[in-house]
Amino acid sequence: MDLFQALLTGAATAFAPINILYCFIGVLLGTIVGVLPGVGPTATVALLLPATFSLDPASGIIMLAGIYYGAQYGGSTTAILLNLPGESSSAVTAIDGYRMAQQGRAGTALATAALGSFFAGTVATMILAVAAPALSQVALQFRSVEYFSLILLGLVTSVLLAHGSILKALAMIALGVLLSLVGQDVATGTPRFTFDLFQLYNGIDFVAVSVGVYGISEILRNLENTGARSTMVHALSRLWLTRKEFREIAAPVVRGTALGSFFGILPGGGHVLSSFASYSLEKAIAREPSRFGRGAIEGVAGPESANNAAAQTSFIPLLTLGLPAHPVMALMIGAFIMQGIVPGPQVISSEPQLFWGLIVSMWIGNLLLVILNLPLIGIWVKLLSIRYDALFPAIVAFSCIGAYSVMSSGFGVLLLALFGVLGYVLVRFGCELAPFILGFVLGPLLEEHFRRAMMFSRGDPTVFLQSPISVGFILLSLLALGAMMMPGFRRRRAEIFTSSDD
Amino acid sequence: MSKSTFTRRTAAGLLAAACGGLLGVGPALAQGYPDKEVRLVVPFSAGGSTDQLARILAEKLSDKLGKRVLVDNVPGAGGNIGMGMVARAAPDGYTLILVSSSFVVNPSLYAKTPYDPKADFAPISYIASAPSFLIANPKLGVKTFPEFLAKAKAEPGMFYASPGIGTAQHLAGELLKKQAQIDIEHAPFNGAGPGVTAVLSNEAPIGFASVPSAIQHVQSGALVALGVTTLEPSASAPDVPPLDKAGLPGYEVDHLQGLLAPAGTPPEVIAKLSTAVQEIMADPQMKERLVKLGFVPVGSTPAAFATTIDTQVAKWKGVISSAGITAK
Repeated sequence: MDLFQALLTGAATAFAPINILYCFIGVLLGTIVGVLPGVGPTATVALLLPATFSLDPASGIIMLAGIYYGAQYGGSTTAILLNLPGESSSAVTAIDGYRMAQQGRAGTALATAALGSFFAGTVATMILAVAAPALSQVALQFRSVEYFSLILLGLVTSVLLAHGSILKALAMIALGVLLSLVGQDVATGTPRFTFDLFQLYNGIDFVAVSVGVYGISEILRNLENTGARSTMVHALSRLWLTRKEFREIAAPVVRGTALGSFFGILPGGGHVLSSFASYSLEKAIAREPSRFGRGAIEGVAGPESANNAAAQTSFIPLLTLGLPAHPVMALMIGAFIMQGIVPGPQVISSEPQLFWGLIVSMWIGNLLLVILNLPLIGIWVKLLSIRYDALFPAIVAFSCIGAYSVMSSGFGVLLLALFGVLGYVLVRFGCELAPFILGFVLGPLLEEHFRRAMMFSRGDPTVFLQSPISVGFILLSLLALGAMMMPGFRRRRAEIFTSSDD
Repeated sequence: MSKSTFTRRTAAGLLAAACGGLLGVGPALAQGYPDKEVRLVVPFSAGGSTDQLARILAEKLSDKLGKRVLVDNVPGAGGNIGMGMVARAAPDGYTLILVSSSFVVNPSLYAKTPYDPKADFAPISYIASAPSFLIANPKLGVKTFPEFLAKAKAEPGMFYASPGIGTAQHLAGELLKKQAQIDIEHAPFNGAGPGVTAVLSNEAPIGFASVPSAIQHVQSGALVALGVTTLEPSASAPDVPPLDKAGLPGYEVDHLQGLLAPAGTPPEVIAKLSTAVQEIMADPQMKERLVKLGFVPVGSTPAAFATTIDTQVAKWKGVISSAGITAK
């Protein structure tokens, strides 16, 4: 069956009115849970899974997939508007997206996120259609050794996420990694730094950390300058992009899509890295890296595209190998099995209308998301014109609900308060939060893969130099480190930061 | 609700339960239960296999009881947080918990657990068990369990992958090691998916994995299933022999899934719930759903479940102490 015929088969399934309806329900639910920090796609899919048993397999799976990528899409909204990133990918978007919102460019940032995601979703869906079987084996080339080296590269280049001192950025990465070690050790089950609190056995929850250090600390900072302004922004400008802005985002969107499509294929942590990697890349090759962290539109366009591309291509290991890249994917395997379909290479030939139907529905879903989100931008932006004295209590309440719902426990709210204060203190000392968050997110993966690689090699560290893929990532890490040490790079950084310190 | 109400209800309930016999007729006092929503705690995050079972069960139980049964995920510390919470909850039948094998394993695994599996809970029903496969990468060159045993004896120190410390699959590996007298080493992964992936990519040559996480790879030939940990073959793969019959007589690891209430819950409420669960589990459609998810439906009486808990707590205590596993 050639591709064109296959896509026609898929279109016949995906364009059935009932499936368009379920696709719409899926992306709508996904957008809603994406907007709420703490209420993630995993809980939503788990909740709706029993309801899909009675549906036609294609309808059920199309809806569940829609929730997943819809949530990736919706997560950026609160990050941009209120500095409340509920997922690791939107923590990156918050860096420049929130600055843009403060400058009165919230509409532009949201439109950029929507358009970038749509482009990425379209391209990644095409990749899924054309190359899924060919790419399926890539996932199996990555074991603990390769993942460790990849994550190391991610951590090293994350120094680029910061625009201040390199030393402080490194310290922030280390602090993030250290905090991420709280909880039970993966290899032995020993509780570490838990102070005998059972609530800490699973580690410190991401929502409490990111919403605390970003959202709550931002409110604390704003409370310092009382009376200066009564709303966040004065000028609520355009909701659309200018021709110049379109030109500015074109290349970052393409690069983000490419990076995200690649990372999405790796089930052992690829989707987590995608948006961070895209941000680092955009900043590294930018003509004026100093604009990053101060409202650079590329800092929204790249990571948002990467994130959405990875969300789509992470279906490749799921559909071709039955390997879940995300807890939502593990649930989807359950959904497939309940419908009597065993995910794996044979799905493409044994269930063509389902496989191709899902792919075509993803494109429809992305289109629906754009149609759904572009008109909403105007409403979202109005949120910013709410007065501080009404908005701040609302944000705090909203954040508390998110932190509470993760474990159904008040402990999450206490953590949220603690990290709000920590974030405030860190920012006052001129430390940046993005490297901290990255360290916190990647720390457990780094440790897990390192420990396991060393266990399998029985303590022989040269194992990292025996795999060509791993050697490649280590060389890139060394190159990046070298570049940071080079006098030229440091001078350039210094010049940039003095000249643009406005 | 006052304390004296409980005592009176409990005493009356004991009497009624004694008279009620095996007919399953609810005693008069249980007729008022439930008069509000029932909370079913799952001590794990949404999306795991116990959570999926809970959601299917909650839907059916709501129909039977006439009041909503709501699933509440209270994850953390290998299930200890949720189990500790329910151990201290009001014993009025409005807080129930669905536990997995960590319920009988944790007391031996952790230095301290916030519950006592016998004293703090009233068993309702052993809902289902979940078999695991012993899987191998085809590159290992073994097709059957005896071939594997020979290989493992010739090459000591082989790694086996599991979904993590203290999981039923980890214990299955330790029991295999102990009973077959072979030298294999545990390689814990972070969840079922990564554990299976490790065997697929041959990072670990063998592993234990739940049936639903491995079945598709066994069917496609990407993995070899050497045996199943339960005494009966899995309905999804009838060709894979139980390890008990493949050369390890008496070997059995069943990943239990059971429904409990806090100790002191009125017996007539327990009886009503157990009867409802047993009826649900007898329904062919329910059975088919659970089999697809990799479970073996059981649906036992409270007494039978209590015996299972006793046996399993003792069994895992022995395996854990002889293997020297600890999460202390």
